[in-house]
Amino acid sequence: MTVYINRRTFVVATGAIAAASLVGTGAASAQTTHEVQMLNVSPDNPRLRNVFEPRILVVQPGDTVSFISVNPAHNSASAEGMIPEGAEPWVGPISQNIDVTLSVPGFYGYNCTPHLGLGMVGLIVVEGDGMTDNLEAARGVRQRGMAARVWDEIWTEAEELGLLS
Amino acid sequence: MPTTLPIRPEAGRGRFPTPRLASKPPSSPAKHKRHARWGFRHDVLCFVLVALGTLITCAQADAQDGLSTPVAIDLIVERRADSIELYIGGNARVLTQHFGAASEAFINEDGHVPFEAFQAGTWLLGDALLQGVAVQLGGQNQRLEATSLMMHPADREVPFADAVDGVLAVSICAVLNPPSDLTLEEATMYAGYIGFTSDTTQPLTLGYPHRTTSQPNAITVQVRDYANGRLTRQSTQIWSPGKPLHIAPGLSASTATLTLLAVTLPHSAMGLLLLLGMLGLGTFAHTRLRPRLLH
Repeated sequence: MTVYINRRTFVVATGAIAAASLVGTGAASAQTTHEVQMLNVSPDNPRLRNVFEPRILVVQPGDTVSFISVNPAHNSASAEGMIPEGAEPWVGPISQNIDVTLSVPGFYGYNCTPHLGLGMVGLIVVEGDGMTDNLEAARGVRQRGMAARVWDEIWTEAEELGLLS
Repeated sequence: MPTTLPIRPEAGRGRFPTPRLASKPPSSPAKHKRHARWGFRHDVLCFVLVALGTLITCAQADAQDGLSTPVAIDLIVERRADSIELYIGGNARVLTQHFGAASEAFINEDGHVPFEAFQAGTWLLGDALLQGVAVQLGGQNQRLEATSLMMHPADREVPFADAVDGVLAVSICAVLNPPSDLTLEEATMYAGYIGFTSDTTQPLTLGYPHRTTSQPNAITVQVRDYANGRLTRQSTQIWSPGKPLHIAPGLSASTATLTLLAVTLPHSAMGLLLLLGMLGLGTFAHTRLRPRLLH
């Protein structure tokens, strides 16, 4: 049996397919998962110990960040005073992976609990409206030990990447 | 033109050989070459001798501080542009007693090292260890903040020679499958500290711990001083009761070379001048004074 469609039906069907594919794309981007490795030694510099790789990550609201325990005795925990208002803090178990979904735009500082003083810290930037609302507060947090030096490097790098404006 | 000085006829009298106070100029190219070679050898010899002397003096200066007693504490100092890092290593019981930190903070109720609890971070333990020590840099009080502290079973040695070793030694992740029954006597403790300052080349001074719980006695400390990863001085010192431990930075390789040259070259030149002066005096005495005295 032959089915004939008129022009209106064709246009509506094409529009529906296009809309569905757009929605599909949007849903896929909302579910993007990013990986951050927890390492004993930096792959770029063997003199750098206890690092997150990458240490700066830019994501979209709703994205998931998966912290991978490549080397044991590390974890990921949100840094006190360094996440946006309304965002959920997290503390990952030692030597285990953890997935964190971030929906509130802003700057998220995090660290490895036992290696905070040694500067094992990282930054996630969730883009979106109001993303710089907690920037000043996050930068003003007093850091412990070597974390102070690493955070200076991170903020400088973030500025060079144009993330702070 | 001859360079021998004129000798009065009565000076010789056949009893004293005519002095040749300055050698004749070389009469042939071969002699010229020999003279030039000897001059060069002399310079090299002077340089080597003064360099050796300087090195031996430096080595003795460092060695004088050392004693034959075994090293109780290892110290690593890393001086960077914006900060100074300090790493301390030694037997856990010796360190806690020497620094006067309450040992209960480092063990659980059973008297064993609580590795599980260390996963929450150990910088407060590090701060507690150094609390009784007055730290100064260039005579000014310097705040050192603990980065981490870790204990290792004494039979599992880890390298502890420079700051990179230090970071690894104080890291929690450095001890896998730690024993649950380790005592402080059986553990080696490592602690790391950092202080931010603009001038890190000044001597670092650690006051003797004012709350030590051990019998006040001298303790042997091995110090390795680095500047941006380069070892500048290594010494063994005695940290005596009531006296501070002075950790003076050494010289970098380039500075040391320049210093050595600055010391050596004047020495060489001065030695040559001194030699010439002595020869002149000898000549004067031989040609003018001695004949008169003999008369």
